[in-house]
Amino acid sequence: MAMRSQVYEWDCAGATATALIGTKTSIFIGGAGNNITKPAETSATQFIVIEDVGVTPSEYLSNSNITAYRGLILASGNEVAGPRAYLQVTINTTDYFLDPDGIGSDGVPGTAAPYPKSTFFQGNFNLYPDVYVLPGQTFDIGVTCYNVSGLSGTVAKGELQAFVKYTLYDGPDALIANKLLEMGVSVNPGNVDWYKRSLLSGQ
Amino acid sequence: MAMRSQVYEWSNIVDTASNTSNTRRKSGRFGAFVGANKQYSVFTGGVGNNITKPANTNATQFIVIEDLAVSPHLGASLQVTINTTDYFQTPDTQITYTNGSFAGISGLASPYPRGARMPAAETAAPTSITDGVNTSVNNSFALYPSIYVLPGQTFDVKIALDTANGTESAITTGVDSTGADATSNEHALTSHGLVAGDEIYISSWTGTSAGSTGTYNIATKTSGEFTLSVEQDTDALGIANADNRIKFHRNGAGVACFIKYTLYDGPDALIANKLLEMGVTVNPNNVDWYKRSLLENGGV
Repeated sequence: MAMRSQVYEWDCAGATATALIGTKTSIFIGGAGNNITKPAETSATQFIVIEDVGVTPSEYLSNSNITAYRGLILASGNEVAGPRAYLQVTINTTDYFLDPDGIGSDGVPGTAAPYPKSTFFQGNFNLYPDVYVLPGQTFDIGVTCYNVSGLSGTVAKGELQAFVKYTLYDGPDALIANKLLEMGVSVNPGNVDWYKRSLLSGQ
Repeated sequence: MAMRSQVYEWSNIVDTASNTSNTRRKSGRFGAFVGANKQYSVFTGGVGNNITKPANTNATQFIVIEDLAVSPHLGASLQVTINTTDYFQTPDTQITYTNGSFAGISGLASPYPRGARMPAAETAAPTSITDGVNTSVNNSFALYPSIYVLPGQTFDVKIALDTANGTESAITTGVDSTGADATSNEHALTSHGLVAGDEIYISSWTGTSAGSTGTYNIATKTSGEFTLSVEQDTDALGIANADNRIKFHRNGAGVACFIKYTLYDGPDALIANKLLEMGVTVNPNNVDWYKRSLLENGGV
């Protein structure tokens, strides 16, 4: 099991909505929803490639008196349905997504990278090139929301979710991943297998 | 991190009814006014969330814009400008049509979000749950070939609507709730386009028993006049008299756009330039291929 496809799903159920607004909340250790025991990191013999991310979508429309729109909360008079959520990847202390003026942004909007995907929210974004987490690095995924009225006061299950798909390379495959990185070759399972085959055929 | 997938989302949502823009994104629910047939920069246009300076590449950066998408209602479209040159042109090399609307990628061709509901009419904002709720707009357009922003260039993305979103600051007189001479009171004019339930922000108010500035709803709208609800905050509404004058604007629907681009930095930007010289498409695969070919040739 030297290459493993991994996923992490976060559901913010039970959190207080007002505490989430305008603040980046770690989906791993942010104290809201399901968490893990320590920050996510790679050991010296691990290499992670983050291949897909998603967060609850929102939609921009005209204000009306409806209270629900395609599974999202739409408060009366609001022009946004849903939590208006964004997802940022942080490697060590560096934010991955920047605004064009070089300042760290909120990240990928859920409207562009929705989770879950549906007929109505198909996604405009794919994470390519992938994000690499090198051996010994810590990484975090943060979610920031801006529409408090797109959430219940106490967030209900399914109102704010995030999803991360990554591949964990371990042991010898992590060494190969590093080698591919040095060579300028994309790190993916196909290329790792190709490198192994080329080593074997060279013997 | 020499090649990075980057995104930028713009919307006209601002934090308070009296604001038209915010630097960075803020919580709020008000859709700022966007005029018809006028281009607004999504970076520095003074509407919605903006950044601090025009977008540009430095000498060691190379940007490839790979996707553009915009809300499908209100006839929204996007234009990309590199330095001073607009990317999308009409067949007669103009950037506007004869009716004054702007050329560009329309939200019906590249919707944001992909799957957004189809407006009842091409230019209408959806106004009810039954308005095209079971329809979804899929993309008819893919930005291929992509758009290159070379080192040292500035670039901009501009949104234009062919239908006004909201009402820009307007002045009306004789607002009252007891009836007035409709012919002499501007509030009776249908050109304001106000209907019961509309939300307006009154930025100034003069006259006898003038109310305070703030956000109000149109409570009733008959053929001759409209009345105002109690202000949405805790202030009491001063009943307006016939000599009252108010200056107000009405916020509009939420409108948003999305840009996906890849930023090549440092050595990868040099390789991107080299690929461009060679006539090879600049994308992460080809940059990787060029690096491999350098390594296979013993390094250069």
